[in-house]
Order: sequence, then structure tokens, then C-alpha cells
Amino acid sequence: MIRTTLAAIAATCLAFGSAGAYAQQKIKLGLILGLSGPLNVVGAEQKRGFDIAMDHLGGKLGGIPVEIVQADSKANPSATVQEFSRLIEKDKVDLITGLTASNEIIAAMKPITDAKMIFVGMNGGPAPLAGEQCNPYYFNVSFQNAQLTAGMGSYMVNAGVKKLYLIGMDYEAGHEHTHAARKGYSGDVVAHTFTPLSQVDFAADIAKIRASGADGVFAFYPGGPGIAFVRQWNQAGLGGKIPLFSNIALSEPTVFQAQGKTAMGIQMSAVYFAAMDNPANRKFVADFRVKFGRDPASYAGLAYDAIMLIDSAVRAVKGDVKNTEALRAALKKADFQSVRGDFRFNTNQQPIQSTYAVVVDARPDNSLYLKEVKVAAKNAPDDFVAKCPMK
Amino acid sequence: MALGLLIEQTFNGLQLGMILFLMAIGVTLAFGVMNLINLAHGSMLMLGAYFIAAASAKTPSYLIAFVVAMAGIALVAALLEVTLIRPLYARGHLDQVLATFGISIALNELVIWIWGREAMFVSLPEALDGFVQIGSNIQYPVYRLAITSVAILAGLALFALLSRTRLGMRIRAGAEKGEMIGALGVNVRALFTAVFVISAMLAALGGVMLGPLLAVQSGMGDPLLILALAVVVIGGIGSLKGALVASLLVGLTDTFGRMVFPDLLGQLVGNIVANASVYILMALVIAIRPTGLFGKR
Repeated sequence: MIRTTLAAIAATCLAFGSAGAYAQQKIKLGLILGLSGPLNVVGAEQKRGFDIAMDHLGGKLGGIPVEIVQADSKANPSATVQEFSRLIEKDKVDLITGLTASNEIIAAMKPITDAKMIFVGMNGGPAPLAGEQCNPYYFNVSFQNAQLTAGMGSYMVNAGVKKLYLIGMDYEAGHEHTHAARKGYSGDVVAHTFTPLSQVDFAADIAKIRASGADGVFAFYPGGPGIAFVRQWNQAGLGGKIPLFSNIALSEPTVFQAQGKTAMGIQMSAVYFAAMDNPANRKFVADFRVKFGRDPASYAGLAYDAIMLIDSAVRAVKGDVKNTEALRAALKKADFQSVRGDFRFNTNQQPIQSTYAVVVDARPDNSLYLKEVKVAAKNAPDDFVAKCPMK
Repeated sequence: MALGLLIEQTFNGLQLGMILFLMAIGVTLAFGVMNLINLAHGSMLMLGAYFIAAASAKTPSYLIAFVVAMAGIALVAALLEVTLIRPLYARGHLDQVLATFGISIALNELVIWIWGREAMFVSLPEALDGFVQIGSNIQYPVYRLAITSVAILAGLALFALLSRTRLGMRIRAGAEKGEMIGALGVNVRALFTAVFVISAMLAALGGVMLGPLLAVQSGMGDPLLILALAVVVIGGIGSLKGALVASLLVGLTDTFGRMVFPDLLGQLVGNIVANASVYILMALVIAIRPTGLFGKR
């Protein structure tokens, strides 16, 4: 009893001691990713980008040693809330980064607002959090969901598409991305259809697409269903006959091995791809290739940026991460070298950035890569910023 | 509607139906013969796909890879039955559901452990990488026709096994009066192992054939298991004839639902109805015949 009381007093003293305006000896960073569950391929790729960033920073943030507390959000909103509570209350982390699915990010808003805990999101943000429900403690370093598909509508018009067939997975992101693809598209839409999350054979839909007379298809299928869709598309003899458009979720380095040559020629929009030519990205991609033997997918590049952003902010506040307002101001400046080149935050703490049209192409050694076609939208804000009360 | 499209969609529906049949046989045999609810059955399909991916990476001959993969599945299934499944026969259905669900989670993690999280590549057997011309403008993949044909052959082989061989006779007897064949001196343990292995091999055959069409990754069999469960409920639990009829019914309903409903009811409502068509069918069948189309009593 006496011992626990003493321990409690000691702990209290320590807590008060570190709450002062002194630089900390160590920073506790919560890293939460969907490492298990349906998006585990994405979570694992985010972790790879994170690891390269920590290598580059020598295991420090802003020059201060870091203790990383890892958590698994399982692509599941209720698990996300539990793990945020654990990180905040039990592990007493200084700030949190990560998350994989849009619905997880929405679930995380209550715990971070209650605790005034800063969270830096590494993957696509849902529309409400860019608009009316924007949150001072949430920084989205990746992209607002619809931003990922920005410019694809007019791109498809320029590519000569007159009859467009849209198809996607029947959930939040599937609806957001296929609707974003229609923005700026002026031709006919022959169908706009959704398939259930559990569907893995698309033969019936592909037959329907062929019969519809469409001269362009926009398909949103991330991960496993994306592999299946692309392979079946080619096996049905449509590869190279009807152009296939998407955003980066359909085909990138995490699925290249499984899609093989069938991915060639898919035209997609992207905010990040490995061939981007700037010093920060050249260094990141070179080291990623050495460690993992292939190009990084966008999830890795965006996770890398999240850590570099946090590093810049911790450096700016000289390690005083308990001063939340100062840390927020420093994060908002986005004073870091992004692997995407130009990057800054808008008033809603979502990115202002360029979207590119890329195509899957093969190198002389037959390995696949994403080749830039053109800039689809230059330094563009998201569509919802005007609804955000933060100015 | 063009005749070509109608033929193409019929092929698609039959193919989906026959794959579901390969899955449903195992679910319905396990229930009929061993009174076992087996939620690990989707993992057998997944293992089939992983085994063909791993084996075909090692040898250029598709035939050798195929034999290795099927032998591998037989071995794994036999081990699984003897060590983990056998004690479940005497337990209640809830215990079986929990335990087999646990086994499927463990197998899903095991393949990640061995082969990694990212999907594996399985190439088409070269001889089947071509098209058949239907009508003027439709090329139908030979591979999909091959899947349907192999599944039909496997189904015929199973019916021959059940109706023409001693083993088949015992399996049918086991499904009818399990205690009696034990009393008559048949080795029930070995019989159950054989049924489990045959079921697993049929599911794995589905996985082997779907490997080049789907993403070969952890948990890939689970969505198909859900459809196969719907098939078994529609056909009547424990009935092989029911499984066949219901598989084709579900395959064709799903395929033609996708084609017809969005045009008939508009994009939004049509989509919802098309995506739910199999389960609407299931609800209708249960409402009219609670034991399924060919269920007893």
C-alpha cells in the first residue's frame, strides 16, 4: 500500500515535471494502422514507409529520441476508438499518427477532440471532416478522398471518351471516388453501378460493359477485388480494346506482382507515385527499393510524409510537444520536404496539392511502374473547404 | 437483347454455379454424414489456390503443379480431420461453429505467415489462354469454359463414387443411419476422414481453378463460403441433389439479376435488388419450403 502510494506520488511529480515548458528527453508517438483485417495490405505498406522515415531520421523526431507505441486499428471503427483510448489514457502518448480506412478516421474524432490530442492522418480523409466537421486536432497529410480522383473527368473527355461506364465497390469510398470521376466529365454516362464488397467474380458485369457499347470505363476496386477485376478484364479480351480508367487504388506496386502484365495501360489519377522527380522522393524511393526490392506504393509515400511533417513541427517547437497550440501552428506550416514536391495545408488542415494522370507501363527489365502522363489538377484544394468553419 | 450476350451470361452463370457446387458439396456432405457444421471450408478453397501458386512457381508443367497441389490439400485435410475436426463430431453445433471458425482464422493467418500479405500470382495454363467466338463480337475465354467443364466432370465423378462404389455406399449409409453402419463393423472413423478429405479436395479444386481469376490472398474463400451456405440452405441441408440444383439456381440468379434488374428498376434500386437477389431467393425458398428445395421433412 505504502509502496503504491509512493509510486503514485513519484509518477505525479514526474508528470508535472515534464508538463513544464522544458524540452522533453523523449517523445512518445502513437502509431495506429490497420495491420490486420481487410485492409492489412495497405496497413503493412504504410508501416514500410514509416520505417524508412524513421531510418532517415535516425529514430528521432526533431532531434529528440522517440518511443513508438504501436496499435492495430483492424480497419474497424470500434477497435480504433478502443486503441485511441489506450494510447491516450494508458500509454500517455504525445501525439498520434496513422489510420488506414475512412470510417476509422471518423471514429477517431471523438477521442482526439476530448483529449485535445493531435492526430496526423496518413491515408484518405472522408468528405465531412474536410467540410463542416473539420477538426482542429486532425491534420490530413495524405489526400481528401475525392481529391485522389480530381481532374479525371476532364482527362477522360480529352482521351476521347464519349460513353462512360462507371463501376465500383458498394461502400463509402466507392461512391465518393466514382462520383468524383464524373466531375468535369461532359459525355454520356451509360451506367453508374456498384457491386457488393464480397463479390470476387466480375464476369457478369464485364459482359454487361461490353454489351453497353461504352468506350471508356472508370472502375474503383482497391486491393484483392482490384486484382481480380483487372485480370478478368484482360481474360475477357477487353484489355487494350476499351480504355480502363481509375485512381491509384486499382493498380500500384502492392498488387503489380499479382496483376502482372494485365495491368499494362490502365490510366489512373494519383497524388503520389514512385517516379515523381524531386530530391526527397529520389532518396525515399532509392532506400525503399534497397530494403523491400520494389517501388513504394502511395500508402508508403504518404506515411513517409506524415513522419517528415511531424519531425518538422517537433523541431520548430524545440521538442515542447506538450504545448498543443504551438505544435498545431508548427504542423500547419508544413515546413518539410514532401516526396510529392509542392505541399501545403489549407485552412481545414487538408492538403493543397497536385493530382497527376499516370499509366501502368513496363521498364526494359519487364518490371511494372507508374509513368506520368500529365498533371490532371495543379495545386488544387479539396471541394469541401468552404464548409469548414476554421479559417 | 442480343443472343450472344444471353449465351455469354448463361455461361457465366453456369460457371459461378458449378464453382459454388464444388464448395457446397463439402458443406452438405459434412453436415449430412458427420453432422458437422464446417466454417473452415472456405480455407480449403484458399489453400488450393495458394498451393497451385506455390507449385506452379517451381515447375513449368501445369499438370505436375496441379497434382502436387491436390496431393498437398489431401494431406493437410487428413491431418486437420484427425487432429482437430474429429473431436468436434460429438460436440454441439455451436461448438463446431466456433471451433471451425477459429480454424479458418488460424489458416488465414498461416498463409500470411508463409507467403506474406500481398496477393500471389497464378498464371493461366497456356493451352487454355484463348477465346471462343460467340456471335459476331463476343470472345468468350476458353479458361472459363474449362472451369465449368472440369467442375461438371468432378461432380459426375462424385456421383459415380457415391452410387457405384462400396465407399460411396457406406457414405450414403452413414448419412442415413450413422450408428447402424458403426454397429455393422464399418470403420466409421476412416469413413469420416475420407469424406472430409474428398470434400476438401473438391473445394480446393475450385480454388486451383479460380487462382488465375481471383486475388490469391488470405481469406479469399470466405465470400464464396457465404454463397455456398446460401446454396445449401436453398437446396436443403444435407441433400446433394439439392446442392446441385441450388448452385445452378444461385449462379444464374446472381448473373442474370445483375444484368436485368438495373435496366428494369433503375440504377439505384436495380443495383440494390441485383446485389441482394441471391438472398431474396433464399428468403422466398425458406418461406415456402422451410427445409429447402430437397430437404427432408
